[in-house]
Amino acid sequence: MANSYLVAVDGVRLSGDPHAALSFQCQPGELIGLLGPPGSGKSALLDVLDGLAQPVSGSVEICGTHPARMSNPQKRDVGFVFQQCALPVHMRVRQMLSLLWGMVPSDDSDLNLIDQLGLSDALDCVVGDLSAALRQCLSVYLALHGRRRVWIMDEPTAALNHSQRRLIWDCMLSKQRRHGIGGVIASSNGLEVAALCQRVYWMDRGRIIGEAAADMLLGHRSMSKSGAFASDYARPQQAIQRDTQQQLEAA
Amino acid sequence: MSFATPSHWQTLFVFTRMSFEHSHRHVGLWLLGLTLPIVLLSMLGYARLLHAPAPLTQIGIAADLPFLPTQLGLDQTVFQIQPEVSKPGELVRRADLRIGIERATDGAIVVHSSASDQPLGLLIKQRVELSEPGWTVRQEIARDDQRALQYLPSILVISLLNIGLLLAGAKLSRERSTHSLRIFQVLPLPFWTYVLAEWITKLVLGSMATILALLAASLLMGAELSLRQLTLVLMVSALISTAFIGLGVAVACLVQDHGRALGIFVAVNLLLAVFGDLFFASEKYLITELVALVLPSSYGADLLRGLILDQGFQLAPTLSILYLLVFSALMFGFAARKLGRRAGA
Repeated sequence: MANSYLVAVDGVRLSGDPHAALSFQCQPGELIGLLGPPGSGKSALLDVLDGLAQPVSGSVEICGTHPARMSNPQKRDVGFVFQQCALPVHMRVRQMLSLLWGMVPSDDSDLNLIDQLGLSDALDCVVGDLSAALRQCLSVYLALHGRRRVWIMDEPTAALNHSQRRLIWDCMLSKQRRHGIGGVIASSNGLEVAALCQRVYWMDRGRIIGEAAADMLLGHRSMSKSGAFASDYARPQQAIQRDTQQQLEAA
Repeated sequence: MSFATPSHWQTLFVFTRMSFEHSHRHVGLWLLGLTLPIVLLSMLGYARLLHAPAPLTQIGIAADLPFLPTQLGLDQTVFQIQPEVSKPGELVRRADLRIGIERATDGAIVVHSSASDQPLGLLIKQRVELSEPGWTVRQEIARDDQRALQYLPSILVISLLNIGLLLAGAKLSRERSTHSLRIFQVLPLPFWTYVLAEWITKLVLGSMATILALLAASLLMGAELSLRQLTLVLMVSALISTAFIGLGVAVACLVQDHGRALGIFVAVNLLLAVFGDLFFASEKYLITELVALVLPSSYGADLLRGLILDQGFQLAPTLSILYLLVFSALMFGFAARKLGRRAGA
Protein backbone atom coordinates (compact mmCIF):
# COMPACT_ATOMS: atom_id res chain seq x y z
CA MET A 1 0.00 0.00 0.00
CA ALA A 2 1.30 3.44 -0.84
CA ASN A 3 2.22 5.61 2.12
CA SER A 4 0.73 8.77 0.61
CA TYR A 5 -2.75 7.63 1.64
CA LEU A 6 -4.03 8.74 5.02
CA VAL A 7 -6.21 5.67 5.31
CA ALA A 8 -5.79 2.56 3.21
CA VAL A 9 -8.11 -0.42 3.42
CA ASP A 10 -6.88 -3.34 1.35
CA GLY A 11 -8.96 -6.47 0.82
CA VAL A 12 -10.46 -6.40 4.31
CA ARG A 13 -13.00 -9.13 4.94
CA LEU A 14 -15.15 -8.78 8.05
CA SER A 15 -16.79 -12.19 7.62
CA GLY A 16 -16.02 -15.50 5.97
CA ASP A 17 -17.70 -14.35 2.74
CA PRO A 18 -14.94 -14.50 0.09
CA HIS A 19 -16.73 -11.90 -2.08
CA ALA A 20 -16.98 -9.33 0.71
CA ALA A 21 -13.51 -7.82 0.51
CA LEU A 22 -13.41 -4.08 1.20
CA SER A 23 -10.80 -1.88 -0.45
CA PHE A 24 -10.54 1.90 -0.60
CA GLN A 25 -8.05 4.64 0.06
CA CYS A 26 -8.39 8.07 1.52
CA GLN A 27 -6.29 10.97 0.29
CA PRO A 28 -5.18 13.89 2.50
CA GLY A 29 -8.06 16.35 2.87
CA GLU A 30 -10.64 13.77 1.85
CA LEU A 31 -13.33 12.53 4.20
CA ILE A 32 -14.98 9.27 3.27
CA GLY A 33 -18.48 8.52 4.47
CA LEU A 34 -19.78 5.04 5.19
CA LEU A 35 -23.54 4.74 4.94
CA GLY A 36 -25.64 1.69 5.50
CA PRO A 37 -28.33 0.07 7.62
CA PRO A 38 -27.59 -1.27 11.11
CA GLY A 39 -25.50 -4.43 10.89
CA SER A 40 -24.06 -3.52 7.52
CA GLY A 41 -20.49 -3.67 8.83
CA LYS A 42 -19.69 0.05 9.21
CA SER A 43 -18.79 -0.14 12.88
CA ALA A 44 -16.98 -3.46 12.41
CA LEU A 45 -14.81 -1.83 9.74
CA LEU A 46 -14.16 1.14 12.01
CA ASP A 47 -13.16 -1.18 14.85
CA VAL A 48 -10.56 -2.60 12.48
CA LEU A 49 -9.43 0.94 11.63
CA ASP A 50 -9.23 1.75 15.36
CA GLY A 51 -6.90 -1.23 15.78
CA LEU A 52 -9.27 -2.78 18.32
CA ALA A 53 -10.35 -5.70 16.12
CA GLN A 54 -8.73 -7.84 13.50
CA PRO A 55 -10.30 -8.58 10.12
CA VAL A 56 -10.68 -12.13 8.81
CA SER A 57 -8.21 -11.17 6.11
CA GLY A 58 -6.73 -8.08 4.51
CA SER A 59 -4.96 -5.15 6.07
CA VAL A 60 -5.47 -1.53 7.02
CA GLU A 61 -3.05 1.33 7.43
CA ILE A 62 -3.40 4.79 8.88
CA CYS A 63 -0.66 7.19 7.80
CA GLY A 64 1.31 4.19 6.57
CA THR A 65 1.17 2.24 9.83
CA HIS A 66 -1.04 -0.50 11.19
CA PRO A 67 -3.32 1.27 13.70
CA ALA A 68 -2.42 -1.13 16.51
CA ARG A 69 1.27 -0.43 16.06
CA MET A 70 1.10 3.35 16.06
CA SER A 71 3.63 5.10 18.24
CA ASN A 72 2.54 7.86 20.64
CA PRO A 73 3.57 10.66 18.20
CA GLN A 74 1.54 8.92 15.46
CA LYS A 75 -1.46 8.60 17.79
CA ARG A 76 -1.44 12.39 18.16
CA ASP A 77 -2.32 12.65 14.45
CA VAL A 78 -5.46 10.56 14.68
CA GLY A 79 -8.75 11.48 16.33
CA PHE A 80 -11.12 8.62 17.18
CA VAL A 81 -14.81 8.66 18.03
CA PHE A 82 -16.29 5.31 19.06
CA GLN A 83 -19.89 4.31 18.61
CA GLN A 84 -20.11 2.74 22.05
CA CYS A 85 -19.33 5.29 24.72
CA ALA A 86 -15.66 4.76 25.43
CA LEU A 87 -15.21 7.44 28.05
CA PRO A 88 -13.98 6.56 31.53
CA VAL A 89 -17.03 7.18 33.70
CA HIS A 90 -15.12 7.85 36.92
CA MET A 91 -12.95 10.66 35.56
CA ARG A 92 -13.87 14.32 35.80
CA VAL A 93 -14.26 16.30 32.58
CA ARG A 94 -11.49 18.70 33.64
CA GLN A 95 -9.10 15.77 34.26
CA MET A 96 -9.94 14.24 30.91
CA LEU A 97 -9.37 17.53 29.09
CA SER A 98 -6.21 18.19 31.06
CA LEU A 99 -4.83 14.82 30.01
CA LEU A 100 -5.72 15.49 26.39
CA TRP A 101 -4.27 18.97 26.34
CA GLY A 102 -1.00 17.66 27.64
CA MET A 103 -0.77 15.04 24.96
CA VAL A 104 -2.09 16.75 21.85
CA PRO A 105 -1.03 20.32 20.94
CA SER A 106 -4.11 22.52 20.80
CA ASP A 107 -5.56 24.59 18.03
CA ASP A 108 -6.74 28.21 18.40
CA SER A 109 -10.41 27.32 18.10
CA ASP A 110 -10.40 24.51 20.69
CA LEU A 111 -11.17 26.62 23.77
CA ASN A 112 -14.12 28.28 22.04
CA LEU A 113 -15.39 24.88 21.08
CA ILE A 114 -15.42 23.77 24.74
CA ASP A 115 -17.67 26.73 25.53
CA GLN A 116 -19.85 26.24 22.50
CA LEU A 117 -20.40 22.57 23.24
CA GLY A 118 -21.47 23.42 26.79
CA LEU A 119 -18.55 21.53 28.31
CA SER A 120 -17.20 24.55 30.21
CA ASP A 121 -20.14 24.30 32.65
CA ALA A 122 -19.49 20.61 33.23
CA LEU A 123 -15.75 20.72 33.89
CA ASP A 124 -16.06 19.49 37.47
CA CYS A 125 -18.62 16.83 36.67
CA VAL A 126 -17.74 13.17 36.62
CA VAL A 127 -18.10 11.82 33.08
CA GLY A 128 -20.55 9.15 34.26
CA ASP A 129 -22.92 11.87 35.48
CA LEU A 130 -23.06 13.70 32.12
CA SER A 131 -26.08 13.47 29.85
CA ALA A 132 -25.72 11.28 26.76
CA ALA A 133 -25.47 14.40 24.58
CA LEU A 134 -22.75 16.01 26.69
CA ARG A 135 -20.85 12.74 26.79
CA GLN A 136 -20.95 12.58 23.03
CA CYS A 137 -19.87 16.24 22.82
CA LEU A 138 -16.88 15.37 25.01
CA SER A 139 -16.14 12.29 22.95
CA VAL A 140 -16.18 14.31 19.71
CA TYR A 141 -14.15 17.09 21.30
CA LEU A 142 -11.42 14.59 22.18
CA ALA A 143 -11.18 13.68 18.51
CA LEU A 144 -11.43 17.23 17.15
CA HIS A 145 -8.96 18.77 19.57
CA GLY A 146 -5.61 19.83 18.15
CA ARG A 147 -4.17 19.53 14.69
CA ARG A 148 -5.02 16.03 13.63
CA ARG A 149 -4.35 14.55 10.22
CA VAL A 150 -6.95 11.80 10.33
CA TRP A 151 -10.40 11.32 11.84
CA ILE A 152 -11.92 7.89 12.34
CA MET A 153 -15.45 8.50 13.58
CA ASP A 154 -18.35 6.19 14.23
CA GLU A 155 -21.73 7.95 14.48
CA PRO A 156 -20.08 11.10 15.87
CA THR A 157 -23.29 13.11 16.37
CA ALA A 158 -25.96 10.44 16.85
CA ALA A 159 -27.00 11.63 20.34
CA LEU A 160 -26.90 15.36 19.61
CA ASN A 161 -29.62 17.85 18.76
CA HIS A 162 -29.55 19.77 15.52
CA SER A 163 -27.76 22.88 16.81
CA GLN A 164 -25.03 20.85 18.51
CA ARG A 165 -24.68 18.76 15.38
CA ARG A 166 -24.44 21.86 13.21
CA LEU A 167 -21.82 23.32 15.53
CA ILE A 168 -19.68 20.22 15.31
CA TRP A 169 -20.03 20.00 11.56
CA ASP A 170 -18.98 23.64 11.19
CA CYS A 171 -15.97 23.03 13.39
CA MET A 172 -15.04 19.91 11.46
CA LEU A 173 -15.37 21.64 8.10
CA SER A 174 -13.34 24.60 9.28
CA LYS A 175 -10.56 22.36 10.63
CA GLN A 176 -10.61 20.20 7.55
CA ARG A 177 -10.20 23.22 5.30
CA ARG A 178 -7.36 24.64 7.42
CA HIS A 179 -5.40 21.45 8.07
CA GLY A 180 -6.39 19.18 5.19
CA ILE A 181 -7.73 16.49 7.50
CA GLY A 182 -8.94 13.24 5.97
CA GLY A 183 -10.50 10.11 7.33
CA VAL A 184 -13.53 7.89 7.55
CA ILE A 185 -16.91 8.71 9.08
CA ALA A 186 -19.54 6.03 9.56
CA SER A 187 -23.04 7.37 9.98
CA SER A 188 -26.62 6.44 9.43
CA ASN A 189 -27.40 10.11 8.89
CA GLY A 190 -27.26 10.91 5.17
CA LEU A 191 -27.29 14.63 5.87
CA GLU A 192 -24.19 14.34 8.05
CA VAL A 193 -22.32 12.43 5.39
CA ALA A 194 -23.47 14.87 2.73
CA ALA A 195 -22.35 17.82 4.84
CA LEU A 196 -18.92 16.49 5.74
CA CYS A 197 -17.69 13.92 3.26
CA GLN A 198 -16.36 14.12 -0.26
CA ARG A 199 -16.95 10.47 -1.09
CA VAL A 200 -19.55 8.01 0.14
CA TYR A 201 -19.63 4.23 0.24
CA TRP A 202 -22.89 2.38 0.75
CA MET A 203 -22.34 -0.77 2.79
CA ASP A 204 -24.53 -3.79 3.29
CA ARG A 205 -23.76 -7.16 4.90
CA GLY A 206 -20.05 -6.40 5.12
CA ARG A 207 -19.75 -5.38 1.49
CA ILE A 208 -19.47 -2.09 -0.35
CA ILE A 209 -22.36 -2.10 -2.76
CA GLY A 210 -21.93 1.36 -4.19
CA GLU A 211 -19.81 4.46 -4.27
CA ALA A 212 -20.67 8.06 -4.99
CA ALA A 213 -19.61 11.64 -4.56
CA ALA A 214 -21.30 13.14 -1.51
CA ASP A 215 -23.30 15.78 -3.40
CA MET A 216 -25.14 12.94 -5.09
CA LEU A 217 -26.94 12.46 -1.79
CA LEU A 218 -28.57 15.82 -2.33
CA GLY A 219 -29.65 14.70 -5.78
CA HIS A 220 -27.25 16.97 -7.62
CA ARG A 221 -25.33 14.20 -9.34
CA SER A 222 -25.88 10.64 -10.43
CA MET A 223 -24.41 7.82 -8.46
CA SER A 224 -21.88 5.41 -9.92
CA LYS A 225 -22.45 1.84 -8.98
CA SER A 226 -21.13 -1.60 -9.40
CA GLY A 227 -23.08 -3.56 -11.99
CA ALA A 228 -23.18 -6.63 -9.78
CA PHE A 229 -25.19 -4.83 -7.10
CA ALA A 230 -27.19 -2.49 -9.32
CA SER A 231 -30.59 -3.87 -8.32
CA ASP A 232 -29.70 -3.78 -4.61
CA TYR A 233 -28.51 -0.28 -4.95
CA ALA A 234 -31.41 1.51 -6.58
CA ARG A 235 -33.59 1.50 -3.47
CA PRO A 236 -30.95 2.66 -0.99
CA GLN A 237 -30.01 5.52 -3.31
CA GLN A 238 -33.58 6.76 -3.51
CA ALA A 239 -34.10 6.26 0.20
CA ILE A 240 -31.00 8.23 1.11
CA GLN A 241 -31.92 11.05 -1.26
CA ARG A 242 -35.42 11.19 0.21
CA ASP A 243 -34.20 11.07 3.82
CA THR A 244 -31.54 13.68 3.21
CA GLN A 245 -34.00 16.03 1.53
CA GLN A 246 -36.41 15.59 4.44
CA GLN A 247 -33.68 16.29 6.98
CA LEU A 248 -32.65 19.39 5.01
CA GLU A 249 -36.20 20.68 4.98
CA ALA A 250 -36.58 20.00 8.69
CA ALA A 251 -33.31 21.82 9.39
CA MET B 1 -10.04 27.99 32.15
CA SER B 2 -6.47 26.92 32.55
CA PHE B 3 -4.95 23.56 31.95
CA ALA B 4 -1.43 22.50 32.72
CA THR B 5 0.48 20.08 30.55
CA PRO B 6 0.59 16.81 32.51
CA SER B 7 3.78 14.85 32.96
CA HIS B 8 3.73 11.08 33.35
CA TRP B 9 3.42 11.56 37.09
CA GLN B 10 0.45 13.87 36.66
CA THR B 11 -1.14 11.32 34.35
CA LEU B 12 -0.52 8.74 37.05
CA PHE B 13 -2.11 11.07 39.60
CA VAL B 14 -5.20 11.53 37.42
CA PHE B 15 -5.58 7.76 36.98
CA THR B 16 -5.07 7.17 40.70
CA ARG B 17 -7.71 9.74 41.53
CA MET B 18 -10.03 8.16 38.98
CA SER B 19 -9.48 4.81 40.64
CA PHE B 20 -10.29 6.25 44.08
CA GLU B 21 -13.38 7.85 42.54
CA HIS B 22 -14.42 4.37 41.40
CA SER B 23 -13.96 3.01 44.92
CA HIS B 24 -15.92 5.96 46.31
CA ARG B 25 -18.80 5.17 43.97
CA HIS B 26 -18.79 1.49 44.82
CA VAL B 27 -18.82 1.83 48.59
CA GLY B 28 -20.19 -1.67 49.08
CA LEU B 29 -17.22 -3.31 47.43
CA TRP B 30 -14.47 -1.58 49.35
CA LEU B 31 -16.45 -1.67 52.57
CA LEU B 32 -16.64 -5.42 52.12
CA GLY B 33 -12.88 -5.56 51.58
CA LEU B 34 -12.14 -3.46 54.66
CA THR B 35 -14.68 -4.87 57.07
CA LEU B 36 -14.53 -8.55 56.16
CA PRO B 37 -11.53 -9.26 58.44
CA ILE B 38 -13.22 -7.39 61.30
CA VAL B 39 -16.42 -9.40 60.86
CA LEU B 40 -14.47 -12.67 60.78
CA LEU B 41 -12.39 -11.66 63.80
CA SER B 42 -15.54 -10.66 65.69
CA MET B 43 -17.06 -14.06 64.96
CA LEU B 44 -13.86 -15.72 66.10
CA GLY B 45 -13.74 -13.56 69.22
CA TYR B 46 -17.35 -14.41 70.00
CA ALA B 47 -16.65 -18.11 69.59
CA ARG B 48 -13.67 -17.75 71.90
CA LEU B 49 -15.81 -15.87 74.42
CA LEU B 50 -18.22 -18.77 74.56
CA HIS B 51 -15.39 -21.14 75.49
CA ALA B 52 -17.03 -24.01 73.74
CA PRO B 53 -15.70 -27.13 75.52
CA ALA B 54 -13.62 -29.42 73.35
CA PRO B 55 -14.87 -33.02 73.26
CA LEU B 56 -11.35 -34.39 73.84
CA THR B 57 -8.62 -32.75 75.90
CA GLN B 58 -5.06 -33.52 74.88
CA ILE B 59 -2.55 -33.80 77.70
CA GLY B 60 1.13 -34.08 76.75
CA ILE B 61 3.57 -35.54 79.28
CA ALA B 62 7.34 -35.21 78.94
CA ALA B 63 9.50 -38.30 78.39
CA ASP B 64 11.18 -37.99 81.82
CA LEU B 65 7.86 -38.73 83.54
CA PRO B 66 7.14 -42.19 82.03
CA PHE B 67 5.01 -43.48 84.90
CA LEU B 68 2.75 -40.44 85.19
CA PRO B 69 0.26 -41.35 82.42
CA THR B 70 -0.81 -44.48 84.28
CA GLN B 71 -0.60 -42.88 87.73
CA LEU B 72 -2.93 -40.06 86.78
CA GLY B 73 -5.60 -42.57 85.80
CA LEU B 74 -7.61 -40.13 83.73
CA ASP B 75 -10.70 -41.23 81.83
CA GLN B 76 -9.47 -41.79 78.27
CA THR B 77 -12.84 -41.06 76.73
CA VAL B 78 -12.37 -37.37 77.50
CA PHE B 79 -8.60 -37.11 78.07
CA GLN B 80 -6.13 -38.11 75.39
CA ILE B 81 -2.81 -38.74 77.09
CA GLN B 82 0.25 -38.26 74.87
CA PRO B 83 3.34 -39.75 76.59
CA GLU B 84 6.99 -38.87 75.81
CA VAL B 85 6.18 -35.48 74.35
CA SER B 86 9.10 -33.16 73.66
CA LYS B 87 8.75 -29.65 75.20
CA PRO B 88 5.05 -29.87 76.20
CA GLY B 89 5.16 -26.31 77.61
CA GLU B 90 6.13 -24.94 74.20
CA LEU B 91 3.35 -26.95 72.56
CA VAL B 92 0.79 -25.46 74.96
CA ARG B 93 2.08 -21.97 74.13
CA ARG B 94 1.67 -22.73 70.44
CA ALA B 95 -1.87 -24.03 71.04
CA ASP B 96 -0.92 -27.53 69.86
CA LEU B 97 -1.72 -29.00 73.32
CA ARG B 98 -4.20 -27.96 76.00
CA ILE B 99 -2.29 -29.29 79.00
CA GLY B 100 1.43 -30.04 79.13
CA ILE B 101 3.30 -31.68 82.03
CA GLU B 102 7.11 -31.65 82.36
CA ARG B 103 9.85 -31.51 84.96
CA ALA B 104 11.45 -28.10 85.46
CA THR B 105 15.20 -27.60 86.01
CA ASP B 106 14.61 -27.16 89.77
CA GLY B 107 13.05 -30.66 89.91
CA ALA B 108 9.45 -29.49 90.34
CA ILE B 109 6.68 -30.81 88.14
CA VAL B 110 5.13 -28.05 86.05
CA VAL B 111 1.60 -28.24 84.67
CA HIS B 112 1.24 -25.88 81.70
CA SER B 113 -2.08 -24.59 80.51
CA SER B 114 -3.39 -21.57 78.66
CA ALA B 115 -5.26 -18.83 80.53
CA SER B 116 -8.58 -20.11 79.24
CA ASP B 117 -7.75 -23.62 80.54
CA GLN B 118 -6.58 -22.38 83.95
CA PRO B 119 -9.26 -24.28 86.00
CA LEU B 120 -8.58 -27.50 84.10
CA GLY B 121 -4.82 -27.03 84.67
CA LEU B 122 -5.46 -26.55 88.39
CA LEU B 123 -7.44 -29.80 88.56
CA ILE B 124 -4.68 -31.71 86.76
CA LYS B 125 -2.10 -30.16 89.14
CA GLN B 126 -4.09 -31.41 92.15
CA ARG B 127 -4.40 -34.82 90.51
CA VAL B 128 -0.60 -35.01 90.08
CA GLU B 129 -0.09 -33.93 93.73
CA LEU B 130 -2.48 -36.68 94.87
CA SER B 131 -0.75 -39.35 92.77
CA GLU B 132 2.75 -38.42 94.12
CA PRO B 133 2.30 -36.63 97.49
CA GLY B 134 6.02 -35.94 97.95
CA TRP B 135 6.43 -33.93 94.77
CA THR B 136 6.49 -30.21 94.37
CA VAL B 137 3.95 -29.38 91.70
CA ARG B 138 3.19 -25.93 90.32
CA GLN B 139 1.00 -24.54 87.60
CA GLU B 140 2.20 -22.19 84.84
CA ILE B 141 -0.12 -20.23 82.62
CA ALA B 142 1.14 -19.89 79.05
CA ARG B 143 0.42 -16.68 77.18
CA ASP B 144 -2.13 -17.70 74.56
CA ASP B 145 -1.81 -14.77 72.15
CA GLN B 146 -0.89 -17.27 69.49
CA ARG B 147 -4.04 -19.28 70.09
CA ALA B 148 -6.14 -16.14 69.76
CA LEU B 149 -4.33 -15.01 66.64
CA GLN B 150 -4.15 -18.42 65.03
CA TYR B 151 -6.46 -17.48 62.15
CA LEU B 152 -5.46 -13.83 61.83
CA PRO B 153 -2.87 -14.49 59.05
CA SER B 154 -5.42 -16.46 57.02
CA ILE B 155 -8.10 -13.80 57.55
CA LEU B 156 -5.66 -11.13 56.40
CA VAL B 157 -4.76 -13.11 53.29
CA ILE B 158 -8.47 -13.62 52.44
CA SER B 159 -9.08 -9.91 52.91
CA LEU B 160 -6.19 -8.94 50.63
CA LEU B 161 -7.36 -11.54 48.13
CA ASN B 162 -10.80 -9.92 48.03
CA ILE B 163 -9.29 -6.49 47.44
CA GLY B 164 -7.06 -7.80 44.65
CA LEU B 165 -9.68 -9.87 42.88
CA LEU B 166 -13.01 -8.21 43.63
CA LEU B 167 -11.85 -4.59 43.60
CA ALA B 168 -8.91 -4.34 41.19
CA GLY B 169 -9.90 -7.22 38.92
CA ALA B 170 -13.62 -6.53 38.83
CA LYS B 171 -13.07 -2.82 38.13
CA LEU B 172 -10.79 -3.54 35.20
CA SER B 173 -13.13 -6.21 33.90
CA ARG B 174 -16.07 -3.77 34.05
CA GLU B 175 -14.07 -1.11 32.23
CA ARG B 176 -13.06 -3.58 29.57
CA SER B 177 -16.61 -4.77 29.03
CA THR B 178 -17.96 -1.21 28.78
CA HIS B 179 -15.11 -0.28 26.40
CA SER B 180 -14.03 2.67 28.53
CA LEU B 181 -10.38 1.63 28.20
CA ARG B 182 -10.57 2.13 24.45
CA ILE B 183 -10.01 5.86 24.71
CA PHE B 184 -6.80 5.35 26.67
CA GLN B 185 -5.58 2.84 24.14
CA VAL B 186 -5.87 5.30 21.27
CA LEU B 187 -4.60 8.35 23.15
CA PRO B 188 -0.85 8.97 23.11
CA LEU B 189 -0.28 8.24 26.79
CA PRO B 190 1.95 5.69 28.53
CA PHE B 191 -0.38 2.87 29.46
CA TRP B 192 1.77 1.69 32.37
CA THR B 193 0.52 4.71 34.33
CA TYR B 194 -2.98 3.21 34.30
CA VAL B 195 -1.77 -0.13 35.70
CA LEU B 196 0.47 1.60 38.26
CA ALA B 197 -2.45 3.75 39.43
CA GLU B 198 -4.55 0.63 39.99
CA TRP B 199 -1.73 -0.92 42.01
CA ILE B 200 -1.26 2.19 44.18
CA THR B 201 -4.98 2.55 44.91
CA LYS B 202 -5.53 -1.06 45.88
CA LEU B 203 -2.28 -1.15 47.83
CA VAL B 204 -3.58 1.72 49.98
CA LEU B 205 -6.85 -0.16 50.53
CA GLY B 206 -4.95 -3.36 51.34
CA SER B 207 -2.76 -1.56 53.89
CA MET B 208 -5.87 0.01 55.45
CA ALA B 209 -7.50 -3.43 55.70
CA THR B 210 -4.35 -4.82 57.35
CA ILE B 211 -4.18 -1.99 59.89
CA LEU B 212 -7.88 -2.35 60.69
CA ALA B 213 -7.54 -6.12 61.10
CA LEU B 214 -4.56 -5.72 63.44
CA LEU B 215 -6.44 -3.10 65.45
CA ALA B 216 -9.46 -5.38 65.67
CA ALA B 217 -7.26 -8.30 66.75
CA SER B 218 -5.71 -6.09 69.41
CA LEU B 219 -9.09 -4.89 70.74
CA LEU B 220 -11.02 -8.14 70.49
CA MET B 221 -8.32 -10.62 71.40
CA GLY B 222 -5.78 -8.60 73.26
CA ALA B 223 -3.07 -9.35 70.71
CA GLU B 224 0.22 -7.66 71.44
CA LEU B 225 2.55 -7.20 68.49
CA SER B 226 5.81 -5.31 68.73
CA LEU B 227 6.53 -2.32 66.48
CA ARG B 228 8.99 -4.45 64.53
CA GLN B 229 6.31 -7.13 64.01
CA LEU B 230 3.74 -4.53 62.92
CA THR B 231 6.14 -2.97 60.42
CA LEU B 232 7.09 -6.34 58.96
CA VAL B 233 3.44 -7.46 58.78
CA LEU B 234 2.56 -4.25 56.87
CA MET B 235 5.45 -4.77 54.45
CA VAL B 236 4.52 -8.40 53.85
CA SER B 237 0.84 -7.53 53.40
CA ALA B 238 1.88 -4.98 50.76
CA LEU B 239 3.77 -7.72 48.96
CA ILE B 240 0.81 -10.11 49.19
CA SER B 241 -1.54 -7.32 48.00
CA THR B 242 0.72 -6.74 45.01
CA ALA B 243 0.56 -10.42 44.06
CA PHE B 244 -3.24 -10.54 44.38
CA ILE B 245 -3.80 -7.23 42.55
CA GLY B 246 -1.61 -8.60 39.76
CA LEU B 247 -3.66 -11.79 39.73
CA GLY B 248 -6.95 -9.84 39.60
CA VAL B 249 -5.75 -7.59 36.79
CA ALA B 250 -4.36 -10.54 34.81
CA VAL B 251 -7.61 -12.52 35.11
CA ALA B 252 -9.57 -9.42 34.03
CA CYS B 253 -7.35 -9.15 30.96
CA LEU B 254 -8.08 -12.74 29.96
CA VAL B 255 -11.87 -12.45 29.94
CA GLN B 256 -13.75 -9.73 28.06
CA ASP B 257 -17.20 -10.43 29.50
CA HIS B 258 -17.74 -8.90 32.96
CA GLY B 259 -20.21 -11.56 34.15
CA ARG B 260 -17.87 -14.39 33.20
CA ALA B 261 -14.96 -12.59 34.82
CA LEU B 262 -16.89 -12.29 38.11
CA GLY B 263 -17.57 -16.04 38.01
CA ILE B 264 -13.86 -16.71 37.50
CA PHE B 265 -12.96 -14.35 40.36
CA VAL B 266 -15.24 -16.27 42.73
CA ALA B 267 -13.76 -19.60 41.55
CA VAL B 268 -10.17 -18.35 41.99
CA ASN B 269 -11.12 -16.93 45.39
CA LEU B 270 -12.48 -20.31 46.50
CA LEU B 271 -9.51 -22.19 45.06
CA LEU B 272 -7.05 -20.02 47.00
CA ALA B 273 -9.14 -20.08 50.18
CA VAL B 274 -9.54 -23.86 50.19
CA PHE B 275 -6.22 -25.06 48.78
CA GLY B 276 -4.04 -22.09 49.66
CA ASP B 277 -2.98 -23.38 53.10
CA LEU B 278 -5.18 -20.85 54.88
CA PHE B 279 -7.72 -22.71 56.99
CA PHE B 280 -7.18 -26.32 55.97
CA ALA B 281 -3.86 -28.07 56.51
CA SER B 282 -2.48 -28.64 53.03
CA GLU B 283 0.23 -31.07 54.17
CA LYS B 284 -2.35 -33.76 54.93
CA TYR B 285 -2.28 -35.12 51.36
CA LEU B 286 0.50 -35.00 48.80
CA ILE B 287 -1.79 -33.57 46.11
CA THR B 288 -3.06 -30.70 48.29
CA GLU B 289 0.50 -29.98 49.40
CA LEU B 290 1.64 -29.77 45.77
CA VAL B 291 -1.32 -27.53 44.83
CA ALA B 292 -0.59 -25.28 47.83
CA LEU B 293 3.01 -24.87 46.68
CA VAL B 294 1.79 -23.33 43.40
CA LEU B 295 -0.61 -20.85 45.01
CA PRO B 296 0.62 -17.45 46.22
CA SER B 297 -1.66 -17.52 49.26
CA SER B 298 0.41 -20.36 50.80
CA TYR B 299 3.57 -18.26 50.71
CA GLY B 300 1.79 -15.13 51.95
CA ALA B 301 0.06 -16.96 54.80
CA ASP B 302 3.32 -18.64 55.85
CA LEU B 303 5.12 -15.31 56.00
CA LEU B 304 2.31 -13.74 58.05
CA ARG B 305 2.09 -16.76 60.39
CA GLY B 306 5.80 -16.60 61.02
CA LEU B 307 5.61 -12.89 61.82
CA ILE B 308 2.35 -12.71 63.77
CA LEU B 309 2.45 -16.02 65.66
CA ASP B 310 6.22 -15.89 66.06
CA GLN B 311 6.50 -19.63 65.66
CA GLY B 312 8.97 -19.90 62.77
CA PHE B 313 8.39 -20.28 59.05
CA GLN B 314 7.47 -23.55 57.33
CA LEU B 315 8.96 -22.27 54.07
CA ALA B 316 12.15 -20.24 53.86
CA PRO B 317 11.11 -16.54 54.03
CA THR B 318 13.48 -15.69 51.17
CA LEU B 319 11.76 -18.28 48.99
CA SER B 320 8.30 -16.94 49.88
CA ILE B 321 9.30 -13.33 49.17
CA LEU B 322 10.98 -14.30 45.91
CA TYR B 323 7.96 -16.34 44.84
CA LEU B 324 5.55 -13.46 45.53
CA LEU B 325 7.81 -10.99 43.71
CA VAL B 326 8.16 -13.20 40.63
CA PHE B 327 4.42 -14.00 40.65
CA SER B 328 3.55 -10.27 40.83
CA ALA B 329 6.01 -9.39 38.06
CA LEU B 330 4.57 -12.10 35.80
CA MET B 331 0.97 -11.05 36.43
CA PHE B 332 1.57 -7.32 35.96
CA GLY B 333 3.80 -7.94 32.95
CA PHE B 334 1.07 -10.01 31.33
CA ALA B 335 -1.60 -7.42 32.14
CA ALA B 336 0.44 -4.45 30.89
CA ARG B 337 1.24 -6.29 27.69
CA LYS B 338 -2.34 -7.35 27.13
CA LEU B 339 -3.82 -3.91 27.92
CA GLY B 340 -1.26 -1.85 26.07
CA ARG B 341 -1.58 -3.99 22.99
CA ARG B 342 -4.45 -3.75 20.60
CA ALA B 343 -5.65 -6.31 18.06
CA GLY B 344 -3.00 -7.35 15.59
CA ALA B 345 -0.12 -5.58 17.32
